[in-house]
Amino acid sequence: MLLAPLVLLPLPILRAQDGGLLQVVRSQVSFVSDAPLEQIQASLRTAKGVMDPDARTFAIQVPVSDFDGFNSPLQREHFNENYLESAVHPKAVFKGRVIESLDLRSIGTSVVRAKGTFSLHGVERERIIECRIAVGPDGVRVTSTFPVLLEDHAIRVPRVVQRKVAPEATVTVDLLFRPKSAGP
Amino acid sequence: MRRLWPVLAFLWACPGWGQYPFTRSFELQEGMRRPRAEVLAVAPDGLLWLGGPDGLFRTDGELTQAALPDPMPPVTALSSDEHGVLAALGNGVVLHVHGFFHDTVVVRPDFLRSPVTSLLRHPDGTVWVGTYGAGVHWMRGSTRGWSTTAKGLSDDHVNALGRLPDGRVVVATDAGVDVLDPDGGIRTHYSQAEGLPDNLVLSLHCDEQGTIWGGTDRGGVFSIDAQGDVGGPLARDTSWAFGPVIRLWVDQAFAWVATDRHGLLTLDLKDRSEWYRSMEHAEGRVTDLVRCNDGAIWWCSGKERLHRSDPDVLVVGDHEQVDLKGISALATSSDGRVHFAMGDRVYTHAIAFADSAAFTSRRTALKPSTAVVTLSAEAKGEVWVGTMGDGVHRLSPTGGDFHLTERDGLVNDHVLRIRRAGDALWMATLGGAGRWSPSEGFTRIPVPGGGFLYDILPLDDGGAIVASDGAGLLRVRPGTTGTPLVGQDAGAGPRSYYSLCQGDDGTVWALGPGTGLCQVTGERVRCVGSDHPVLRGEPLGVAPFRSGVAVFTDQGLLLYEPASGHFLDLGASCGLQGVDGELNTMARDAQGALWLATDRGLIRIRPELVERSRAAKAGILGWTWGLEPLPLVDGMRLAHDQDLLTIQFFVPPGADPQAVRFEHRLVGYDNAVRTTRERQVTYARLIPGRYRFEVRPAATDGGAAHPWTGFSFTIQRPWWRRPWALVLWLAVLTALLFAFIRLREERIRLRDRLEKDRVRFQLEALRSQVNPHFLFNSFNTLIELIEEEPRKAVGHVEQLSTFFRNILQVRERELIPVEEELRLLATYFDLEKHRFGARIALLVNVDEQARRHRVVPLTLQLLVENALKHNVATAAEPLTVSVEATVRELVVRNPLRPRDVGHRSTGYGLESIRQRYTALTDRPVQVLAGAGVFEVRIPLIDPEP
Repeated sequence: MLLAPLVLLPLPILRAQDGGLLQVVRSQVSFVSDAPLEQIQASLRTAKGVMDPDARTFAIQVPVSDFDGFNSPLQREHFNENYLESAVHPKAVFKGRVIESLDLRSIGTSVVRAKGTFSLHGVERERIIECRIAVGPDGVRVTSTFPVLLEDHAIRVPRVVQRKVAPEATVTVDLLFRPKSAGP
Repeated sequence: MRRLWPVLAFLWACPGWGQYPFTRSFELQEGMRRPRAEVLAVAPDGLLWLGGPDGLFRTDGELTQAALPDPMPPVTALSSDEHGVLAALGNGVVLHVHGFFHDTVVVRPDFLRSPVTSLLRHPDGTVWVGTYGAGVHWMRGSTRGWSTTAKGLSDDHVNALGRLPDGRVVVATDAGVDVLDPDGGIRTHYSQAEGLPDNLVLSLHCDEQGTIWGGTDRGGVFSIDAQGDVGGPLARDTSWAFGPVIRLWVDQAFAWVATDRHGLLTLDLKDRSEWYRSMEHAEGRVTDLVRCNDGAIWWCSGKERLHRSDPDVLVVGDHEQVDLKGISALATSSDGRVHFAMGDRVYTHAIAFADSAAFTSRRTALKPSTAVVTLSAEAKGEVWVGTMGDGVHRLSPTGGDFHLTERDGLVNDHVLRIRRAGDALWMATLGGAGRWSPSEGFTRIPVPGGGFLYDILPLDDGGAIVASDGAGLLRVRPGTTGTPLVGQDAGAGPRSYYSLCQGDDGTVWALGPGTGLCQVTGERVRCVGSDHPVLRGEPLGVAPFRSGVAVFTDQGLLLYEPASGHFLDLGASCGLQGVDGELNTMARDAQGALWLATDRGLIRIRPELVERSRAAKAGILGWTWGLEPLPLVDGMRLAHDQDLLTIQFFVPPGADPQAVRFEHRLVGYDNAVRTTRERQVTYARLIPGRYRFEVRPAATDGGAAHPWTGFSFTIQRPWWRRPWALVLWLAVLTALLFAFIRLREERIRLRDRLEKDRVRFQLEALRSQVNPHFLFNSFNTLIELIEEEPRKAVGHVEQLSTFFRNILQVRERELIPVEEELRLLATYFDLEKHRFGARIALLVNVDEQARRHRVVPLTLQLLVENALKHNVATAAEPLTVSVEATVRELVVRNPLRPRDVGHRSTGYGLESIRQRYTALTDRPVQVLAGAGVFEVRIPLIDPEP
C-alpha cells in the first residue's frame, strides 16, 4: 500500500512507450572466468542497446576491446589479440525478441526470456537468456547472468593455459533503458 | 542450507508424491554397445524404436538391435508411421526405416545447422519436418514446401509437430503455437495474448477429439480444444513448479509429462488433484515418452536404459512421510476406501489415484507386544481391528470405539480373522470360532477338532465356512456341530487352510499351503493347480478379481479363471515379480481393483491390466536370405537356391519381455510347433514349395492361446524343373528318339538297297559272262582251234576256265585292287582277242601308284565288253580300248563308232556300276560321250590300309 503513490511517478516512461524505442543510458557488462588456477574478471561500461517494447525486439552491442580489469595488461592484450581477436570482430551483439509479452507500464519486476542471436568472435549462436526486468521510476533496468561456452564461439584456448582459462565464462549484464526521446 | 530451501518447499508442496505408476527399468545392450536413448517411437506393430547419439535401434524390451549399418549418425527426431519409423539423422538426412530396409526421404544441408526436432507423417504421405532454426518443411512425393517467419510462421525455431484429426498440422515454436493447413498455409496462431501460459511451447500432443495439448517452458501444460478455446492448467493446483515440459501424452485417463528436471509426472485426469512423480526410478531429465499399444508409457532419459510405467499398477511407497512397507493387515470398504494397519496404527486411504486429504490415521490402544492381524471396514468409516493377543477393537469416526476381549466372552484374544455379515461380526481365533452381534452378544461356534482357525467366511444361509489348521475346511453353524468338507484331498489326511473368499457368483474359494486353489461346492472341495509354482508358495490371501479369483503367495500373484480353467501370472504381467507380504494383505475394492500390501508398499492393480496382458500378438521383424534382407511381402516368391532363411520376430514390449517364449511353425515344412525364447529361427535347405511361417507368444500357465501372426512365401523350382521345362524336355526326348529310329531305318534301307545293288551287279556281271554271244563266240573259236591248233585250243579252254574261276573268286568281294582287276581284264581280253584278232586292241597305261588303289571287281571288264559290243571293229580300223589312270580316276576310253544293228543297249551295265559306286564314294562315275570318243571315268578308291 505504501508503494501505491510511487506508481504514479514514472510518468516520463509511460509517455515514452507510446512513442516507441528505449535505449541504454547506463550499462555494466562483466565476465568471470573461474579456472582452477586463476580467476579472471573484466568489465566495461560502454555497451549500447535499444529496445522496442511494443514489438518486443531488442539489440545490445558490446565493444569487446573495451573490457578492462584483467589481472595484468598482458592478459588484456592476449584477450584482445589471441582469444577474441577484437580487431577482426570488434563487437559482441545480442539481438532478438523477448518471448513474453512485456508490460513496462507498471512498476515491478519480472523475469523474461530474451531469445535471439548471440554473436561473439564472429560466431552466431541462438540463445534463450533469462533476464530480470525491473521497471522503476528512473527507467527500465535489465539484469542477467548467463554462461558463454568458449567452444561455442570458436575461441580456442591453448593447452598450456587450459587450467588458467575456464571453458565457460559467466557474463553479467546490467543495463538501464530509458526512452530515447527523453534522453539528453 | 539456503540451497536446500527450495527443495524443502517442494517437498512440503507435494505430500502425495510417493505414489507413482509401477515403473520398471530395462537396460539397453546391443552386442558390446550400450546405446543411449534420447528419442522414442512406437511402430504400429508395437515394436519400440529408440534414437540417440549412438544411432537408431529397435527393441522389444529383451533384444535390442541396431537399425542402420555402422557407423550410425546421431538421431535427433523419430516418428512412427504405418510401416515403420521416420528418423532424422544428425547429418541432415531424414530416413524412412521399415523392417531391415531404409530409404532416404530428404537430404538437406541446412538441417545440419538447424537440427530436426520433430517429424510427422501425414496419412496422405506428406512428411513434415520441424527444425530448430529453419522453420517447417514438408515434402509430398516430389513437391516440397516450407514455412518460416518470412512466410508468416511465428518463429523459425520449431520444437514439436502435431496432427489434428481434420488434417491440420500444429507447430509448436518458441513464440507459441501455429496451426497450419495441410498445404502449409497458416491458419491460426496462439500465444500468450490468446491465453497460453507461456510463448515458449516445447511439446505437443493432439488427441482424437481435436484437442491440442501443449507443454511449455515455464507455464506447464495447456490445452486448446477443437473450438479454439485455450484451457488452463490441468491440475487443480494451478502453480507449475516442474520446469520445462519436454514431452507430453494425454489419453482418456492420464496425462504424462516428461520434464527437464523433475522426471516423469503423471496426472490422473479423473480427479486432477496433483501431479505425481515417479521417485523410485527418478531420472531428473526425461527426454522422451511414448505410449505403447498396451497402455503403458515407455520413457527414456538420454541414458542406456528405458523405463516402462504402467498406469494400471499404482504403487504407494510412502505417504506423508509414512513408509508404507510394513503393512500387517488390509481391508476395503464399500465406500471406496482402503484401510490398512501398520504397527499400532490404522490408516485410511481414498480410492482415487491419490487424495492426501482423505489419508487419515488412528492409533489403537493396543496392549504392548500385540499386533493388528486383521481388519474389517464399513462404509461409514467404522473399522474393526482384530489383534494377536488383544481381542477385537472397533474404531469409529463418530467416537463409538469399544474393545472386546476374553473377559467379555470372546473365545480367544488371539484373533486371526474377523469378517462382518450384516450387523454380526464373525471371528476366527486360535481358540475356535465365534460370533458377536450387538443384540445377541457372543455366540460360540463349535468346531469339531479345530482349535486353531485361520479364517472364517460367513455365508448367506446363516452358517459359515472355517479354515482350520490341520482339520481342513469345515461348515459350521452357531449352535450345531460343524461338518468337515470332503474332497479329493480327504485320503491324504486333513490339511491346513489359511484364506477364504467368496466370488461374485457365490463360489467359495480356499487356499492353504500345498492345497492348490480349492473350490467349495456343496460339501465337497475340489482343488486345482497344486503344482503351480505360485500356488506352492506360502499363501497370503485370496480375493475375487474380475471373473475369477486372485491368489497372493510369497511366490507371486496369480489369477485363476474357472470358466476357462486358465491361470494368468498377474505378477509377471505387470512386472511385479518377487513381492512379498503378510497374511490377509490382499483385498478387492469397490471399483474392482486389487489392493496388495507388499514389502514394496501398497499396490493397486486395475482389472484392465488383464485384458492388456492377454492382447499380446507377435510381429515379424523381417527375414534374410543368408545375410541379405528380403522384403517382407506376403506371398513372396524366392528362387530355388534361396533356401537358407532366417526369420526374426518379436512381441510388443510388455512388462516382462524376458519371460516371453515364442511358438512358431513352418506350415509346409513339418508343421511342428516349436517353442523358443530366441527371437529368430533359421531354416536351411528348404525344398521348393509353398510355405507359411507363423509365430505367436507361447501361452503361459496353460492360458488361452494367442493368435498366430505369419506370412506366406514360395520357394520356386529351378527353371528346368518347372512344368513348361518338363514339357520341353519330353519334346526333345521324343524328337531324339524319333530321329534315332528314322536314322536306323534309313541305314537298314540303305543296306538293303546296297545288297540288292550288289546282287544285281553280280547278276549283271554273271549274265554278261554267260552271255550266249560270248559263249557262242568262245565255243566257235574253240571249235576252230580244236581243228586247226589243238594245243592252242587247250590253252584257250584253260584261259576260259581261269576266266570263270576268277569271276567266281572276285564275285563276293566288295573291292579289289586295280592290279587284280587289270589281270582279270587281260584274261578276258585274251579270250576276246581269239575272236576279234587284230580288230581290237587294249592299251593299259596305269602306273604303280594307281594299281594299288581299288575298284569294284569286273567294272573294267563290263566297260570293255560294252565297248566291244556297241562299236564297230574292223581290221582297217581296229577298236582300241585304252585304260589310263589319273590321280584319282581310272579312265576307260574307246572311239565312238556305234554299230547300227545288233545289240540294243539295256543300260543295265553302266547303271549298275554307277549305283555300286554311289554306295562306296561320293565321287561320281562320269560318262562322257561325244567328239567321237566314249569315255567312262571311274573313281579310284584308296588302297587298303
